[in-house]
Amino acid sequence: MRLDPDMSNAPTEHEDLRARVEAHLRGAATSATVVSSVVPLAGGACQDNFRVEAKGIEPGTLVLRSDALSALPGSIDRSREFAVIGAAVRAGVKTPPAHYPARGLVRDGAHAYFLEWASGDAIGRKVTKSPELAGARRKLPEELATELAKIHRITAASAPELATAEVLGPAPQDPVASALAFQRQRIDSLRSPRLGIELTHRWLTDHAPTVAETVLLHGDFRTGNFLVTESGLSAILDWEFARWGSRYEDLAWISMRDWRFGVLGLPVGGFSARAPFYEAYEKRSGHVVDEKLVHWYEVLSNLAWAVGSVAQAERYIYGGEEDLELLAIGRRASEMEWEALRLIERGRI
Amino acid sequence: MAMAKFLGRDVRPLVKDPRVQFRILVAESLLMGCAGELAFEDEHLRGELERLFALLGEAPVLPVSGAEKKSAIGRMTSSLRSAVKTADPETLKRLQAHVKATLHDEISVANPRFSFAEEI
Repeated sequence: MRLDPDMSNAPTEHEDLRARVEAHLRGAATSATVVSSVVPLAGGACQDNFRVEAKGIEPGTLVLRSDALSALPGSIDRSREFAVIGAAVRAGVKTPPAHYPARGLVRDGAHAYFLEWASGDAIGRKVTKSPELAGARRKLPEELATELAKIHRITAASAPELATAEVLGPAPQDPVASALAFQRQRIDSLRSPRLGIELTHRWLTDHAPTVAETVLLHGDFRTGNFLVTESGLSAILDWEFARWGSRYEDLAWISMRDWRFGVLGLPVGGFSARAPFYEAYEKRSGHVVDEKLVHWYEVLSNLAWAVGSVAQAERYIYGGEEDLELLAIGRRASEMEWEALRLIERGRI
Repeated sequence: MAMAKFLGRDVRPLVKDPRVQFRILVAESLLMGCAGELAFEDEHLRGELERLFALLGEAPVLPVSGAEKKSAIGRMTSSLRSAVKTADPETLKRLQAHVKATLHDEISVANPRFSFAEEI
């Protein structure tokens, strides 16, 4: 079964998918379900997303998330994501609950599930600059710090079902060594050598801190991956990079230049200075934020994104995936390399 | 540049599908980047080569063609990549200065709005 990515040109496939979704929901939810539409949503490198409108089921608007044809290194499939979201919801994280897991619904073998639809804007430039969201932006440091603290309270000990081979595997004993080794492996698999990437990895290795604690990470906690309404934070989204690691990976990632969406003067996601966010996080988590560790992990974050960007371009150049966006992302690697070296020279956040 | 302007001015406004509109925008941006690279390519390649010759202590014999320049840069960069893992602090500092200069050239063309401020 192949899915035409442009559903508007494939009415037969559209109807087939609608019928399959309806049959699945009638079995998994209620036999009264009638699905009126299944419409592709934009965005997502690792998954296919669709808006599902249905009657006879609550809620009547759902998001169907299914594995895409290819996945990015470090991303998890939808069946693992389903388990992570379950643990997050049980921990009280503001994220849409996942229901009705499926396999082979959208394409052969692809894992899928349904999320409750949540309202709001996730587009980075809107979140950081829209006048309508100014009031919401003032609340975001506290709200996001609160949610992040809840996520980081989940550990392999408190959620052993996540530490199985079927979900995230065991938590690493040394999250710093594990992160460095993962990046080394990714760098070594690149076909386009980048001196800036090598220099950054060398610095990270020479200055590797000691971090003993490992927690659940969102893994891509940044502006663009949460919904905001005029009332404030609506929902945390996109768990495909969830993994075990140091909480500083999440604390640092949100401050990357790229995720400030043009508002460079507000280092936390383009909407806040650092102090309010870290203070709120400390209050909610009981953990004192170590700015030296934030610095090291921000350098690591820029390395990771630089390597990821080059890998995206190589999917086009060598992998035959004809998507111009992959090339455009690849050309941005220089900016992350420059930023990593700037942070290294600065010596602090 | 002309193709980018054509896409932005004449094509994109006619397209209703937001996904296709976005892809056209990406294409425009890539074309603008390529135009900039073509304009500054020789100057940037010469600058990078001169820095690499100095780093590696090689005689500064500039290749003639762009392809030869790129090939020489690739060769010298590969050998420096291998050296990074064991280089002493002074060498690392010199390498870092070279890389930042190269990145500055690349980014200036690919993203003219990028801020190179040391404090952000």
